[in-house]
Amino acid sequence: MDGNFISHLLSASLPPGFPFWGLALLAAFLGALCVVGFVSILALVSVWLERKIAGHIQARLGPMRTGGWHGWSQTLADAIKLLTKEDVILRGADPVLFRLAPALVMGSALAMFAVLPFAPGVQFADIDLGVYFLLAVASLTTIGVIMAGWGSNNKWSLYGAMREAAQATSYEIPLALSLIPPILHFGTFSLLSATEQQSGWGGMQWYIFSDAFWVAIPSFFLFFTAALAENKRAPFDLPESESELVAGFHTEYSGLRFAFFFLEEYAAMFAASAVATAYWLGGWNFPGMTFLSTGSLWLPILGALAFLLKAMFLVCVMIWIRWTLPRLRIDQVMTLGWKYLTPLALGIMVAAAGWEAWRASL
Amino acid sequence: MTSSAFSRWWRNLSDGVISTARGMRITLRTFLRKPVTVQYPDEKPDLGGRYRGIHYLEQDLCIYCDACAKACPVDCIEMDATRHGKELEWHAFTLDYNRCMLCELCVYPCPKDCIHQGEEYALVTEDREDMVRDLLTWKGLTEEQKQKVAEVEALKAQRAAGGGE
Amino acid sequence: MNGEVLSFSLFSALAVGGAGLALFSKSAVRSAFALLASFLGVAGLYLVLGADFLAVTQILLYAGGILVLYLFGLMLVPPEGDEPRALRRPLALVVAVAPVAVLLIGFLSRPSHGARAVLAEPTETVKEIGLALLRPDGWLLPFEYASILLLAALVGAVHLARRSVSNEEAE
Ligand code: SF4
Ligand code: SF4
Repeated sequence: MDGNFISHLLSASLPPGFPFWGLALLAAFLGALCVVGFVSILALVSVWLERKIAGHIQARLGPMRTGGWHGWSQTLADAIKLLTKEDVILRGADPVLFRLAPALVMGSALAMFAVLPFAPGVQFADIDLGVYFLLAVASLTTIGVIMAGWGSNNKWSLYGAMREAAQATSYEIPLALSLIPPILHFGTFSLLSATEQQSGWGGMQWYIFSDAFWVAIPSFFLFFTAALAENKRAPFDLPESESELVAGFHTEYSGLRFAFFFLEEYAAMFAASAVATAYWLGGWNFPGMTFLSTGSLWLPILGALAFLLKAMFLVCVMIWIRWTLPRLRIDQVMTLGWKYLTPLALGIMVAAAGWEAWRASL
Repeated sequence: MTSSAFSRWWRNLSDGVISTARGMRITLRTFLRKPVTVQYPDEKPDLGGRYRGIHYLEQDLCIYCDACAKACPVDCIEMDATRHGKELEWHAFTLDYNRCMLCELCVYPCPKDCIHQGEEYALVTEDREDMVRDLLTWKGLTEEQKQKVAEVEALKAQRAAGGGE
Repeated sequence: MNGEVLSFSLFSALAVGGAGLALFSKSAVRSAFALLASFLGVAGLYLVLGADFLAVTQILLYAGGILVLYLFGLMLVPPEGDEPRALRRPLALVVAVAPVAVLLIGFLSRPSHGARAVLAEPTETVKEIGLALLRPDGWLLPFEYASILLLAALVGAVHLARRSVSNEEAE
């Protein structure tokens, strides 16, 4: 409870006799509201970015008309359209699982944001398990996707779900293994403490610039690749591959429930980028931050800006990759995961462990 | 794992990394290039001058010879006019764009080189009848022509009267 | 009724309810999804006991890994008919009840100190668990023993799944 800035704010403004559980519930509710708002805006911006980047990569312009300046409100209009659409539930679908799946997916995507350190003092909960918690929660989206695929009672959805099951379980291993070098380096699962350890002269004491850069850089790329696959992003978007499975696991979803799957994708992209930012790219640290006094209000603002900029840059790279590489075949996905990424991640893990042990022995 | 399998593994890995990087460099280059998209209804694309669009007719040159209509493989040109000596009184010169394939075959045989294809291409209508376009810029006779026709007729009448005496 | 008891009863209801649903559901896939509720309930119980690492591991491994593999397997297996199931039932009952009975007897014959004795603040559990598992005077031997067992199982599974034609083709 103590890392949460919302509960700090609340406990300062509420009457002293207020019960603790009430405070906790209220803080959780407000925090969830904040996360939902943030994720919605994030998705709007990222989808717009995705379309613009996709357009320019194909020498097009992307949306230009809605809202005036470069079609900035195109995604807003689409969101409104999605919300007003009919929510179709098939007669043959499993009524419970079909309804439960988007909620599970969305809930786990939102829960990931609880441990992301946005700026000094801006984090919903600094739990000791940080990134481990994040991995666990992220793995719940897999269940949600399988649930959606099964509950839809549609062969394309089922294929999508099976691919997701195979792909997610395979890539969870290199994903987790590639996180071990920074965890060893900082000696903590907590993203907050890792970020704090990276603040130094001029804010450039990032992990990939540290003396362990030769394990940091490959592990960063490994993490990024595995995260792409884990988030079903192209070229690993087999669970929804629209050329053969219509839309994969969310073929039968419409309206708000479809929007949940859509939001989850962008939320998960951002969360993965945020983890990469916090562990490898110095989190909220930015060059020149040492000139600011510690209590200054600019620190959280500029820190959040730096964090968002770095994370959004990585999101843009994900988009860039999506519009560069064609989708892999399922056997290629499996080969890449098991025969290339997993051994590489193991090797890097051993190298990182050796390096950290050697450094500790000095 | 044999040594050849191991070296193949490394080659595959480096090939994958290198080709990904190469692909991303290509897309980055396109990304930085100026987009080719034209904001259509606001701007018109540059058609390059040799575009075969909707026809236009230089009516004052046309001699009602029917060569273009005969050349057309799908018979979409129809024309009707009355001759008044040298002057032509046009009633119709229509081109049916339901059938026209913009092949330019009607343009070549014209002895006066007066039918052309322009850069206009928007043929959107709500009614198929609208696709039968009238290429005439004016119907019947202009005031000038009427005057000429009247002069010619008057001269004829005069000559006829003079010859009779 | 304090928060502890409340959350304990909530999570145990979730765990037991999920397990019951898993047992009595007609469709195998639905039972697998019901297991998710059970796993989450157990994870919640761990949290109440202050074992946050164990709770997260429970979610990561059971919900995120094992359950997904169950589902994957279930989707590959064609729906079975009623006949073999009915044949196996009495044996299944014995197999299911025996461990529970053993556990119950063991639990009841123990002098009760109650679960409250273990309640502790979750402080640095990761570090403690790591040290306990990997220190030579800790649980290093059982830990390594378990890993070797798993490795053996893995090798066995690969051996069973291998194609009988053993030509050296890549991919
Ligand atoms: S362009 Fe071709 S089809 Fe069209 S009117 Fe001329 S000759 Fe006929
Ligand atoms: S060929 Fe030329 S001159 Fe003859 S009718 Fe056609 S447009 Fe007129």
